[in-house]
Amino acid sequence: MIDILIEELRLRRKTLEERMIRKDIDIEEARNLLEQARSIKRIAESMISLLSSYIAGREEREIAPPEVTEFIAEDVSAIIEKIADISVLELIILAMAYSKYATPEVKRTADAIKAYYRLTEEEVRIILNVLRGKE
Amino acid sequence: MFDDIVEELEIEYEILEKRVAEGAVSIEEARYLLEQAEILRRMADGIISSLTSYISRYE
Repeated sequence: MIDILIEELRLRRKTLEERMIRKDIDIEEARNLLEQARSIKRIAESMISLLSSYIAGREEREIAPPEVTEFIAEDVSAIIEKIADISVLELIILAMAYSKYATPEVKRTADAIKAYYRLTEEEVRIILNVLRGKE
Repeated sequence: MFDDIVEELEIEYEILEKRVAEGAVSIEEARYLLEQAEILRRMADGIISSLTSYISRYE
């Protein structure tokens, strides 16, 4: 499906460039289109972040010895159940709370997220280690 | 011009997020989708750059 959207975007970009050469776009429309293009970029970046973390996690598990994989599998299935609806933004805030970017506001927000999803400290650390590609 | 693409992409992202949470995406598919998302980002960057210079010329 994304490949179809890429093809569609390619066609529309061509049309846009033709219209820009003809100066057939007023400033208001151009600003509106710029916002839409920024939204596309934001979604693409979210996808990249999501997929990069996912791939790193899968690769980590593939090279883990069997006993480690079994241990992780139990923990992870419980965690996945808890965070099934968590957003990328919430994950980023959790990661920030355990980094040098942990401002008091970020920590408060992260605590609220942990409470909402009923996550323990250990579970948060497992999630963050997976996202960072660590054991 | 791009608003319907934005909407479709948001839906695609939500579906992908759920599938990833369920572990229902194979590593091969995830790598393929990652490449697609990188193409999307580059295209969006190109459009942003064109529009930004168009607007600055216009102003």
